[in-house]
Amino acid sequence: MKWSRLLWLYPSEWRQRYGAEFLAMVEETPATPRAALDVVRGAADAHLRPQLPAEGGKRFPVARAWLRNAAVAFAVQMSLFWVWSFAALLAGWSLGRLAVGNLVLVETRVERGVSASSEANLVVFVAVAVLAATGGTIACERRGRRAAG
Amino acid sequence: MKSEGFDLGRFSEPAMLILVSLAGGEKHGYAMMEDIEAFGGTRLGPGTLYGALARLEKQGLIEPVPSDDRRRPYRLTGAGSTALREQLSGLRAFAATGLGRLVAA
Repeated sequence: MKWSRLLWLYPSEWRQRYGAEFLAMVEETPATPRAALDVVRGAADAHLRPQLPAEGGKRFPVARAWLRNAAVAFAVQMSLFWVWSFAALLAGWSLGRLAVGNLVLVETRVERGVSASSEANLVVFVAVAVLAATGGTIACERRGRRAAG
Repeated sequence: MKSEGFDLGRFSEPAMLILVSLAGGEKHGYAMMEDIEAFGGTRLGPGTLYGALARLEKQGLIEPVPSDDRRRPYRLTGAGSTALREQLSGLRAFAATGLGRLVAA
């Protein structure tokens, strides 16, 4: 397993501070799916709950966390949509062609005359990302306040 | 008794294990992992270990030891020793209460 690839899941500040020693440690660790999953969870946590003193000193920490969460939520949706769209396309479903058409931002019409616009998809993606980021940021803030006592 | 700034959420248990491990002397990450498995019976994953390490360092409870090795060792700070002593004293009182009640029952 290439641990260095998983290291790139961590924030850049985290990698600069802990990257070398973290790699030195994991290279001695048996490469198991459980260990890999633990690294992925650790990386997600490092993004959602900053662990470095320097990160705490940045301006607008809540706004930065919100933007980061929104970007992650949007990227996850787009990734899932890409996978689903191409799977559907390969399977020959007309809905797959519709989805891919929407993805490349052109209005698409399928044989039965159903139309859909790329803008509609993007609005849904953005709305879900905004809701997820707001909910995630509020939850992290509450958790952080509880942890701070 | 809970010391100020020692509540680390879901990382409380790994943090305690790390502090106890470092109470036995400075160690790098892999040595901590092995030591914790030996005395605690649990093996911390790499992500969990470094998540807790980073928070402990942020709170000033541990500090890195200068080293030329890639495997950077860590040690307890004075605040870390105090926090660990408070936590363990609290646990001892808790255990004594529980055991006392069991004897009385």
